[in-house]
Amino acid sequence: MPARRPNRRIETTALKGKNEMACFTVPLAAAAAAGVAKHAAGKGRRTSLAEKFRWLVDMMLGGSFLLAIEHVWHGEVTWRFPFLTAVSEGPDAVSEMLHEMATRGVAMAVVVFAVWGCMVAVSAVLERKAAANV
Amino acid sequence: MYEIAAVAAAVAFAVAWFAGARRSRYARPVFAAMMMFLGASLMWGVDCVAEAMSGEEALDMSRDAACLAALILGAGLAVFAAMCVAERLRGSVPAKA
Repeated sequence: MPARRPNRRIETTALKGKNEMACFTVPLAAAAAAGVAKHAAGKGRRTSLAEKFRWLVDMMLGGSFLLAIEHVWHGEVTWRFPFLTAVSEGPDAVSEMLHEMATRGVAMAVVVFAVWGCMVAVSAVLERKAAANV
Repeated sequence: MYEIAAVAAAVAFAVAWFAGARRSRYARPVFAAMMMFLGASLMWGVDCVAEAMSGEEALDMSRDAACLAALILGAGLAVFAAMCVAERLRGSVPAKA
């Protein structure tokens, strides 16, 4: 029986020393929270605050989507249960995955949230200036 | 490589937005695509900093990464195209009184 050929993508990832596994799930959860906040702020209407929350949802959800593609490419996320390769590899891998989510994942969500905050602040200043000129 | 591709796509959509797309019919899809690539760029930026801090290679410039960059750009543009189609369909349906 011929030896099973290793997954070149996983091999490449391992050679590079990359260990990101499920960091995109943290911004994905943040996107869900931002979506709830958007609905609460808008209550079915298009308000300015709901529109601002929509920017955050777009950034978090869109970014997580593209990161998820990268994780599928690297073989860290699969189409079969339990979906995360690390979960099927044992407790050590799960521990590493959780650590990585708590560090990189949270850092990603915080950075995106901070940039969104800056955008909202700049937008508020511009809106105030426009209102003063009218 | 895919990090650079995401930044380039975010810049391209931002240029399109400020060049006049914000007043067009497709303002919402252009803005959403810009936000999507900006979000991904920021997340990969954090990843690159973490890689660099741990003494590893921050940017992958291999052929494999180039293929992934093309796939990511394709996926992002597919989402943008789907939003444009949805916007067009929404615009063609007469609003109920």
